[in-house]
Amino acid sequence: MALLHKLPATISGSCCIRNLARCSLVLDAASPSLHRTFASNSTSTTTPLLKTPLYDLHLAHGASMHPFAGFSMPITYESQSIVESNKWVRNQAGLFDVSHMVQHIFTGKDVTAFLERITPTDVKELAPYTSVYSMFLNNNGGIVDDIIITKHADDKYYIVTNAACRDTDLAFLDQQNKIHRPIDISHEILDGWGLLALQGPRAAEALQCLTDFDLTQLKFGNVGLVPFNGSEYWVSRTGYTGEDGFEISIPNDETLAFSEILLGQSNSVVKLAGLGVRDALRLEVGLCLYGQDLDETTTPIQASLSWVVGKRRRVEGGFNGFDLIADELNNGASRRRVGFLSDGPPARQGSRIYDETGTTLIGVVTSGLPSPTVGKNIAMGYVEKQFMKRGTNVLFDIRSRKRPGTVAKMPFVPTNYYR
Amino acid sequence: MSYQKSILMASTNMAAFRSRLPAAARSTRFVPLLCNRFYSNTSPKTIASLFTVRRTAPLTSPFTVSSRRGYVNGKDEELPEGLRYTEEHEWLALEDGNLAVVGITAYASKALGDVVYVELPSVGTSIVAGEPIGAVESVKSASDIYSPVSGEIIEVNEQLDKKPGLVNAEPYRKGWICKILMKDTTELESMMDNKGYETFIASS
Repeated sequence: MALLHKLPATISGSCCIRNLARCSLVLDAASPSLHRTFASNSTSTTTPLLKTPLYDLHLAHGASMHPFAGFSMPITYESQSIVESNKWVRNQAGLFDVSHMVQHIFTGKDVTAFLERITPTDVKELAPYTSVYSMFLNNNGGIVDDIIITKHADDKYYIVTNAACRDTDLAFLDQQNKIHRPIDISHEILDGWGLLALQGPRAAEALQCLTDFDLTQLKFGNVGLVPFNGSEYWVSRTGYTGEDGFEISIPNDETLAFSEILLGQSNSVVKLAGLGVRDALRLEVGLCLYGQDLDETTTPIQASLSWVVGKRRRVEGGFNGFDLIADELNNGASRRRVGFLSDGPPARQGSRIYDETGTTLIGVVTSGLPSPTVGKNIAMGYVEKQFMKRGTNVLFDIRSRKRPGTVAKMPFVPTNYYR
Repeated sequence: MSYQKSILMASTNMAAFRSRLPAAARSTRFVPLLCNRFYSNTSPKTIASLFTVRRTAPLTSPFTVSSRRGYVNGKDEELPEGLRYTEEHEWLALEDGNLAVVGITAYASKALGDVVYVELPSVGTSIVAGEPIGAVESVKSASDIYSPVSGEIIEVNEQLDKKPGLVNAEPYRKGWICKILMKDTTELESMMDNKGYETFIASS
């Protein structure tokens, strides 16, 4: 047996909310035969892989480590299969190491205007200490990366971007900086910092044990500077699983100790969770993975993420690719991202989608797997707009055989955010 | 009925027999004897065919009787004795003569994670060694199963339709994928034995 998936030319990553795994890729790397391919083809054999502050902890917990975006990252842990881990995060709490993601600090009075230039978000109206899902856009309205913007103040922002997009993001920011020439702006990357995602219905209970800060003050999308045993960390009530949860930014040398405290609590509701289950969790709630579901040729409208474009921005414009995006907002995009349900073998990334007669190619699957929570196969992909209606029957080409599926509503699993 | 088909039928009967015996008695060597002693209600005709198979099965099998016992009784986390392996992580056990049982190894099933769907080949399909005969799907990936040998698919493990997890739980026993009536048993010579496969997975 060998893996069907081919390794993508580039590995993509995740963004904080969203985060991680370019999964099928990472995942594939976990299989024996693919692993050999990976090792021989990957540049990782020449460049040593980076380690997060939790590298030793992962090994101590029997993690299956694989290269991801230049880092050695845990895909699964010995104690739980992906299905078990999925159930755990949906019922208890999972701790994800997402320290490979890129944490940026932008300061200066021109930052707001600069961010309004390169993203479609209402950055001006964003309240201090709140975070929002957004994206860097190129001049064609294509998505350079999907990101989380957190406003601390009008002249200070914290942004998390995908690890796999690091080089392209930095080149993009550099290029945009040259075009728009903001004067008062400085940019710092928190290299080596830890970023932990604590996710699940019991995440708040676990975190509350470690602080006097009243976590009920933080609703979904809120950010606070929370004291923990003499230190203070930025905690954001967000995540990439659809569950209630937090993302915690921690200096490198404190990340391990903090994680060990969380994992060592007597009630033991927190278990480590890897990038493998993260991919299943995010797909179950319809969240995109950059490099798979989103890329530079895809606009937010085509990606069914038009809600990212702020109300004022739709009228005023003033961001990259506005003309094209405005046209798609008014007249519809030629193709759209939709969800699918099916039985039998799962449609996965790259499966071609045909109309129900099987004669006309109408799109392609960008992510898909058997959902542990739903108990059916779930997928997302792009189809021509006349096929985007819920209930439309389609055929997936899986191993050269056409298998039925249906356009379905996303999320596949209801979200459970703390609002 | 062709020579091959008769072997096949008889061997299937024997397999059915073996599965009814106490675990310790499932060695091929003891089947006829135990049948007589403990299953005296079994029709003489069936027993006769079992004996026939023993005598007429081609002696090309690379598996000794004792190694077959290993296959039947071995623990699933260990490599059972007497199997042959491919670099694609399929195992093959010669059940009798030229009837091969094929599955995927514990190493592969562990790497895949929880198997949620097994695509089985169609009975009657003629296949050439190296051709895909099915696929194993887990949450994280899909993997083709390649036929280790050439021949005809004569039985598939239909239990896997309802219980694909058997591939993880008992990769060398109830998790078998299909049975292939081999065309050419010399194809086995190019496959790895236990030691070879252990070395192979250690280096991959």
